[in-house]
Amino acid sequence: MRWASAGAIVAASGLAVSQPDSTLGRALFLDPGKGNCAACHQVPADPAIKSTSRIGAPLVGIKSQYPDRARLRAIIWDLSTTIPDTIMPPYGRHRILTEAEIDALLRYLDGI
Amino acid sequence: MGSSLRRSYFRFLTAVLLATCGLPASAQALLTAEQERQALIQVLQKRFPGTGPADWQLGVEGLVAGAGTVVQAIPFDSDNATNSADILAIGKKRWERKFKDGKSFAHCFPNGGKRIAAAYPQYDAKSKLVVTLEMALNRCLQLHGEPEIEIGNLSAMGPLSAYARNLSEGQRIAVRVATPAAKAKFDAGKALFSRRIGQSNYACASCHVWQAGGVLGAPVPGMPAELKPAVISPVVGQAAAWPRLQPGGTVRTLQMQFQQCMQRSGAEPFALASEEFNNLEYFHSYLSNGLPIRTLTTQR
Repeated sequence: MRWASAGAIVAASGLAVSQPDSTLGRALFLDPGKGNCAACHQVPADPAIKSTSRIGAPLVGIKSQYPDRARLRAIIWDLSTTIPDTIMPPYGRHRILTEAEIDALLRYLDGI
Repeated sequence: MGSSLRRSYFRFLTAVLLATCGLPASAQALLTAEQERQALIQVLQKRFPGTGPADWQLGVEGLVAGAGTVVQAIPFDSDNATNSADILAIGKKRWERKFKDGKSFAHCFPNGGKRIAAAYPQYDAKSKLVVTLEMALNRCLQLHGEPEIEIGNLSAMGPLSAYARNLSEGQRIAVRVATPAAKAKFDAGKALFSRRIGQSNYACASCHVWQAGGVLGAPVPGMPAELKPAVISPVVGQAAAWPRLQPGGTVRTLQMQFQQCMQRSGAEPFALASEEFNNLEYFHSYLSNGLPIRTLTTQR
């Protein structure tokens, strides 16, 4: 159901599921049943993300901020290992996102 | 999480919560419920300078500029009065219904049931359990040989509970935590409030203390789209305005909201009227002591 939901979001945006992974990554970013990242994070460089939240840090220049991809992956996997009182869900540890989905999300984050 | 680890975790969270108020860890074990409530109010006042519980009872509409306009945009206003009146009329009929023995709900409560809701939930020393208003209504039915009402039955318990609480409209919440046994239930509720649960790993405190006032930038699963952007309300003040009126004119109780929050966190919710939720409602309601009861509002 979750893949269908992500696909529906992508399809609703006018883009097919077979488009590059950055599109799938954006879909995962928006999907309330998956990343739901837009609930807390703004993405100023992506007009498709209409979040106004200031709960989490705005996501800008992620690729240059986190040249160590493994570190960024670890943040998405489980930020509580470095920030114990974070409210960011542990997407990997709690299997909210699969490894492949985290990879797709990382590819999307590379471009913002 | 094992019980000893859970206690340690809870003590840690309590320490974190109270340390911001300058209270040493050694004093926390001696804190009364009221001291803990005041400490939490201080934490929230640091997030919302110049405001207090009287503002927070309105939820985010009392705190965040612009949030009120979001609520006003919801087309409930024209129907709200009608729906509320309809629900209260149904509730009044159920409240006044004569039992087989000739009695009615009014016989089970002091003052005929008027101005009693502020004392609920309450700790019952005989059963050693927290009793909510809905449970008290069912106890009355049981006492008089009548079948109990399923607490989750919106069409049956909803209007009755709303009317029973409406008899105390405007009365200031006055939940008591007067004995060590009652405090233990209060603490159990606080532990659940502070505990991270579910796939998303949220605690109630994660949002309603540490992120209170934060704007959610995307729809919360299960919430109508017209309610975005959702703003996170502070926990103090939340319990004052229940039950609430939902789109379509149905009633939402506080424990139904607990269930929805747990589901949003990716957790299997506890049952309505479970000991876990009763303890949580006890703790949660105590935090709103002093605030006036308001029933069948449409605020978020």
